Amino acid sequence: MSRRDERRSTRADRELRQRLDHLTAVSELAAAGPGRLPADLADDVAATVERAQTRLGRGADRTVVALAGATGSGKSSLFNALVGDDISPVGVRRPTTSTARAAVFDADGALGDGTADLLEWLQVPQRHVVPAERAPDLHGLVLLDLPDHDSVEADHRAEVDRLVEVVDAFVWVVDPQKYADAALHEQYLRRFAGHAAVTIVVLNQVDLVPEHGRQGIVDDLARLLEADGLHRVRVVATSTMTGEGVDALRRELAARTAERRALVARLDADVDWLADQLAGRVSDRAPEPVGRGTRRDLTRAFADASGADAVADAVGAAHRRRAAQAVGWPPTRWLGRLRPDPLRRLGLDRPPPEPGTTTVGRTSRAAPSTVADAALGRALRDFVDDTAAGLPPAWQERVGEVANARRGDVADALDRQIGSARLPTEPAGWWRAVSGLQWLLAGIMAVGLVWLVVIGVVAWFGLPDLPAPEIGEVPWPSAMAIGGALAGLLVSVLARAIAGIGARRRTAAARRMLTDAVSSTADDLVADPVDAELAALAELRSSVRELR
Amino acid sequence: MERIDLDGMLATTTALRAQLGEVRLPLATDAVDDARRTADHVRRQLDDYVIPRLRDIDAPVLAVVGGSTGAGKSTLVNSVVGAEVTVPGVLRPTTRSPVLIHHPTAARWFEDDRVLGSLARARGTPGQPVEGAHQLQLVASDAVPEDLALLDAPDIDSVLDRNREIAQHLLDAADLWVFVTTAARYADAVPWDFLRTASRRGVGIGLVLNRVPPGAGDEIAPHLASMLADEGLGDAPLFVLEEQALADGRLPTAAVAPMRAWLDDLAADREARADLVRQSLTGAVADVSNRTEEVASVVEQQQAVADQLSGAAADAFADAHQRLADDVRDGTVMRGEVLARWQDLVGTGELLRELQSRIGRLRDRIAASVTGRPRNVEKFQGAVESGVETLLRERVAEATDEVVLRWRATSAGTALLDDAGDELRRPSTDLGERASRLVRDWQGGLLDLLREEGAGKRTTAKILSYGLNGAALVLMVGVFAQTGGLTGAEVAIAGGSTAVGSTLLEALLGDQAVRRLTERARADLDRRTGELLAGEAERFTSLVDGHRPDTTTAGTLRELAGELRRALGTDAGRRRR
Repeated sequence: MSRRDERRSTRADRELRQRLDHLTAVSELAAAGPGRLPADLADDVAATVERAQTRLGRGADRTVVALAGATGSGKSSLFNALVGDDISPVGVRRPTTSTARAAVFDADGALGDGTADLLEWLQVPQRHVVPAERAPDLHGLVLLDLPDHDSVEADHRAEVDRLVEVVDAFVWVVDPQKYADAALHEQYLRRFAGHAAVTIVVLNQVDLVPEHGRQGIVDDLARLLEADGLHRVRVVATSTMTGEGVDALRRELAARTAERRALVARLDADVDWLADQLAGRVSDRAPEPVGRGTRRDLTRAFADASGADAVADAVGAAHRRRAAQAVGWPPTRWLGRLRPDPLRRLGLDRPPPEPGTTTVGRTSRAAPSTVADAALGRALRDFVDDTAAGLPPAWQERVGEVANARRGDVADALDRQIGSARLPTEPAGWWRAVSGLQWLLAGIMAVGLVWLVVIGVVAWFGLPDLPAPEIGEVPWPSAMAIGGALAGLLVSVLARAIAGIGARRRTAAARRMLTDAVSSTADDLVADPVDAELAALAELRSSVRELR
Repeated sequence: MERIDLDGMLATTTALRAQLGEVRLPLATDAVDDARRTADHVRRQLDDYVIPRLRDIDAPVLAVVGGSTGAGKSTLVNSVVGAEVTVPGVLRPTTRSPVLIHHPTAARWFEDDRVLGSLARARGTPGQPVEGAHQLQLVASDAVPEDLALLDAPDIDSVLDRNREIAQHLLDAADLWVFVTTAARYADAVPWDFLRTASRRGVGIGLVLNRVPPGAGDEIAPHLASMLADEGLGDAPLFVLEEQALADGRLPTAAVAPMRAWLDDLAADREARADLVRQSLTGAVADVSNRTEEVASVVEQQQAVADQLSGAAADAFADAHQRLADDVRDGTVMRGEVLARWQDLVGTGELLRELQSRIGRLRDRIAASVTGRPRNVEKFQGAVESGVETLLRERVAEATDEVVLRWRATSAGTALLDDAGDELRRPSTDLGERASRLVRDWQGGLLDLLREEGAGKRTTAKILSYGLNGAALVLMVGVFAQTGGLTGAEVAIAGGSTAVGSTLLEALLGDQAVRRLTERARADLDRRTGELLAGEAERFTSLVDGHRPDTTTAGTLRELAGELRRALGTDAGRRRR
């Protein structure tokens, strides 16, 4: 191997390893998410990765070439001619060869551990070591004589099908009778159309055709191969009877073995084939992460479904009710107690748990109703439609699965989020002062009233009038009773108005808080997993594109 | 061989041909490609062989020389005929258009399109290949007997699909197969498949083992003979030809003499010929009958699949309907938003005002128009509407998913879905709109129900005319919450206040009437949702109906196949299988 060849070969090797890394990534991504790729394709990818890694680890310096072809085309004769010994039995009864046979060309004349490993993996038990002196130029070659693929023996075909997947290069042996058989072209040559670089086609038994007709057959064969998609394949005409062309084939094999490129080229072709298959399975456009608008829509729909609005309204109503009790006109305060506290009705009036505690009891809000559940379902559908739009149907399905994976937990998680929210329920600071004022005014009114009563009682019993100081025209007790009452009512009206503003503010704050809480649930249970899935799909897509 | 009623059989086969022409296999079930091919095959066999043969039982025997590519068929034909009638070549595949060699006096049998009607005819001169492949090239030659015609067929295993198809086609039309194989090929899988078919069909078979390397015949011939015996073809004559130099492009006369003699004997022996024809015909008819049964069973299978697909759709939507009815009945619709609105409505006393006083209603309305806030009544109605609509839409979406899932599990369903495109995979686009209209219509319908009920009683009618709206609201709640399903506290709140309302209603209309009204209102809702769901299911079932095979076809096919089998006298076809 010249230095230039060596450089080129290491580069090809490095490139192959990079492509295999990408393929491994594809395989892992496919395995982690069933449905990202069709199961059979994912299996193919995994099998190819595994096969390539194993092959590269076992006798990578050997080149495994298979002699394959129809029954009676003379594979075994050719095998014997190349080995220089009658190893493989040759016969006229069809089919002759029933199991594969290996010839190992080695300068040391020994099998070596690496090659033994390799043959073990190839599951070819019949091995023959060809010593160096018989074929020095073929050192490093492992030649396999395969059974036929077209006879009535179905297990021969199975053996061929197994081995063509694992060898490094093919020598398809055809003969003038059989070179146009459908069995060969349709089942093998077209399937391995991408493997032209590691394919040699041998037209054997040319001695059976008159000299002047041979070139015509070779041309015709080349035409059929082109039609199969195998471009620029080396075609060699041979005859084991006359020895014609066998040396040309041997030289071809020697060159390929010395280059040591067949293994890499074969695996490259396998990866090419998979890359073609995979290309049709990934989207044209890269999947994009879940948009902010889409997240917001989901949060809003979740908030609606979980009744967050009702809770926020209840916060406002509760504030108004409590304010009325705290700063209302004391004589009528008790009336407010007759109405239930809206927050208590929802089971949300207890103090929220300290941050850091994990156990949160269910609220006593009604279990999520069927309607709310249906609304959740719809929200999820809309979400999937938005995020997966434009992806291939299989991926849309996959996104739908991921989005609905924790569907059962959503209602509960939303309830817990709402239960653990630190709702703004604490009394306002000014209540105490206003309450004091109210009591003061009520006291003044009471003193005035008592004073008036005392005056009345004294008058009733005809006792001398008590002195009643006057402010202007109005006597003090009357002024206190009426003024206190009026001022109390006025203060309570004003306080209510202010409490109303506070209630609206608290409603808004509670709504914000609950929306945040719902949004974290929506992110945790739906949006983030879907985002991760979309990222995985994007990675899968870019890995597949890297394969090209 | 017992006599066959030829005319009767001709009538039956003609009827069968017509019926097969009607066979449609529109669903992409698993075996449909095979079945379509089988149907084509039977049609062709009837057209090309059975019907012409039944019409002219005395026409010359047609011996088709078939075999693998490169087996030397053309050379063999030329050698047997003793003249250059067809062109051999070294390039594969060689014989591109079939060549039929007949005696000049027998021309009338082959020139019209009774035999092999599906192939165009070309009159060729011996040795000159016809340009434009895939025509039947007719060559008249004195060298063949009057009562026997030879047909040089294309390869059965060639890389050209069209060649293979024609070969199959020609072999179907044969009274006699002369099957040519070689020492290198005699164990190939493809020819043996053909031989098995031939053996099943009962056609006469002769075998030629060509290109045997000198000296190898003693080993190969017995091996082939034993393989033939294993397949039940032990009686077929076997001719072994060694690989030898061609003289003038032909094998030496001596080499082909045994085969020539066999053909001549057959042509000369009227009785043997008639036997051969009858046997082949019986076999073909039996084969037709069997294959017709196969087609019939696929038609039946398609009907079953069609039933299964539309059944899946109907079931899914019926299930959705049932679940909806349950949701309505057990009061879950009343939970959440709807309940909150109801509490507002009751808590503010708006309901009682709706029920009782005009002035109160007026006040609420003015307040609503001044503050710009919708009245609680409207909020409640809106909540009911959106609740039922949400439920309805989700149930439809679930049912659609279910149908798609179940259709996806079958290949026929998958094909239908793929053809129908994206729209079928989701609920119809105007579903939301129709669902909310449905609820509004139903709410409107409640008023009519009440009016009808109140019409008979003058006093109640009068009172009702004041509070019709409120009564409708109470009725609505009654529909959703009659059997409970609400938790204890909710019942106390919702039920309690409904109780106030329904007591009022009962006082107005009577206990019996209220129960009847509730029942009717619920039935009305049920009917409306049922119609909507049926419309959605219809999208699927109508698609299946468009792809359902004709229901009578399978029966007629089976009947005709049975008739053919009876006409054969014995259960020949069954026995042969």
